[in-house]
Amino acid sequence: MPGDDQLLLEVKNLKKYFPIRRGAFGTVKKTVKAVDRVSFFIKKGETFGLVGESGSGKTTTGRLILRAMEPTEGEVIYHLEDREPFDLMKLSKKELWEFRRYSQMIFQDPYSSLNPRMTVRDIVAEPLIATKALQKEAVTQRIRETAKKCQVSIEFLRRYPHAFSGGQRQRIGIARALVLNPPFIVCDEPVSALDVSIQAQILNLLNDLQEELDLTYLFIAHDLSVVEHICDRVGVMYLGRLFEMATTRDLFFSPRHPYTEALMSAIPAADPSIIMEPIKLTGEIPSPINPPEGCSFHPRCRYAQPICSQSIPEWKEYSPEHFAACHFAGELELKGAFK
Amino acid sequence: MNENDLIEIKNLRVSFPLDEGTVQALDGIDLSIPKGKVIGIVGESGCGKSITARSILQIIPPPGKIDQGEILLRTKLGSMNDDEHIIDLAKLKPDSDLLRQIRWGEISMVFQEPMTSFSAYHSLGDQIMEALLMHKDVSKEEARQAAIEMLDRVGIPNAAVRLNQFPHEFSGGMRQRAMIGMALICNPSMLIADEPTTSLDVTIQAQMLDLMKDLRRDFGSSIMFITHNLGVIAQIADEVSIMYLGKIVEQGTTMDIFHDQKHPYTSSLVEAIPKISDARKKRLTTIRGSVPSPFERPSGCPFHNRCPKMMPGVCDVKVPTPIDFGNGHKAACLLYE
Repeated sequence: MPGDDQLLLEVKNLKKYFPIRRGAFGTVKKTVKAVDRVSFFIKKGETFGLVGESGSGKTTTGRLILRAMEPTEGEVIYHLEDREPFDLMKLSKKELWEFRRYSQMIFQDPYSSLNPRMTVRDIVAEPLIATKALQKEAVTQRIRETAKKCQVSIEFLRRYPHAFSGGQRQRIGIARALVLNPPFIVCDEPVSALDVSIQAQILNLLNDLQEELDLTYLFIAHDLSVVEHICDRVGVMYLGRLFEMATTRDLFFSPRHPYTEALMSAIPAADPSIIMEPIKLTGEIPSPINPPEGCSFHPRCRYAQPICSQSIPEWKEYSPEHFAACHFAGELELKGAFK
Repeated sequence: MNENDLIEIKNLRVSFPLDEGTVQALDGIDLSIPKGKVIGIVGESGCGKSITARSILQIIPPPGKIDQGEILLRTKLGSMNDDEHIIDLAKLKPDSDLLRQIRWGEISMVFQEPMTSFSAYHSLGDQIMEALLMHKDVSKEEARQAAIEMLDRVGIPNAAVRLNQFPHEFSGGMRQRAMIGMALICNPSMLIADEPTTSLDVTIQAQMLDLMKDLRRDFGSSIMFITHNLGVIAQIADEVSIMYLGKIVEQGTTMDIFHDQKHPYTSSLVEAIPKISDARKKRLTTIRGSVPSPFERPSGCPFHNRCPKMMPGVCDVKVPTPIDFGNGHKAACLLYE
């Protein structure tokens, strides 16, 4: 674990259970463990990636650590420059509003995340107005600065979002997130709805902004080549649990969890001379309502032993900053992504 | 028409007359699909890749229409003496009997959205059997047996039971497998796959690509594979066509497209994707601007206003024609004229 002065936030034992109500009286029959006992940390100025398949809980985790959704249990300790470390989950409603100045979000779909009835200026201004962060006179100045940083032309501010392409809309979404000058941004699949050439523009922009403004990102994505490109460290989720966390290099080239190994082997190489040999995972990702006993990956794991179906593996640090939850993480010789 | 070709598209032009003006969705496409090969069609949104596929089956959404061109298909359907002959699909009426036989009987299609491409009101088995009952002279029981075998073939466990279930009871990956099963049930000579793995997760995507490779080997069908994912195309296609604004700008073998690009658009696309083991956070090559609005087609070469090698006075005036670099590798770029 790195020291407190390097950390931006620490997530401890985070849980989000959704009750399933059935029958005439809405009695709770079962719970879906969307996020279950997740612990990780994000360092100042880094890009931390969360990957996993649909339904693995990565978006829910992103929302929980901003408290855009109330967790069932757990702590999220923020270490912000000008404040004492505090647990986000213990903040009052009013304090939470103030906290919004420190963290914002960028969404996946640039088409549905911008209100079509607001001008670009109003969209970008909204966080400023909602948090009353600036005097009225200063608002216009700030919007212009932010728009410039995000490569949104000043002339566009008077227009409505429908006039723009996906890439331009995503820039508007980024401007909205940055207008409060927050140190921390959660990017939820920010490039997956974009075309290849536009994706490259937005990834470059995110990198430039990070350098210029000293930003920290949580980058949620399922495209592993994008994650490998932009992230410093990565966590892998499966059925609501964190399976592995390491630096990008370690995770991609010396994984410790069999699920990570399978993911890496499935990345299609953009080079026909590389012959892929994806590890075949039998079956589908199980239903989160009835997750398998023990390690939730064991029915699909090719290294599974009897113990895997009996006890849940512990989340342990195997080498510096390389964490994994697998009974055999210390012994297996796993293959990484092709180079 | 070359003897090995199943389909040959010649100078295909499709337009959409709209209130705002006419959109030239396809602007003279030439493409041949050899028997038993996987042809990849790659391009950004709005380049006309889906319209090309839909033109073949004449299921272009209205008000789109084929203005010009031929879509030649080698088939036994509609022939008097059961011999192979060549018919021009572009000349057939969209609701003609022959075209109905060809859809699914000869050419079938897998769509991007496995969630919406099945009817929610009928069991999966009924929908797969319907395809067979419509096109082949089989009894209901035979159709049922064939459907079970097919589901089994595409890797759906417990097929006999699953057959009676409804689409919502299947996961996305399973539904896409079933869709592929349904597409292959009549043993078509060509499968059109329109972004079939886009909404799937990587491990499921890898299974899907494996499945399609197996099926091509076993059934010998040609596959037209439409995608914007260059990684997927590198792994599955034999030949690739790169499209931009309704034109094919470059076509060649997959090796040519990834290792010996001629058109600046192709090289920019290949360079713009992040590659594993790249230096992290290295700047990616971008293509400036974005795809122009279909109402404002640039003059000359459609790519000239985004091209890094644009030659003023040439590229914005002259329309490039495809130049042959040998072995089927062609590019439409004025750099080589």
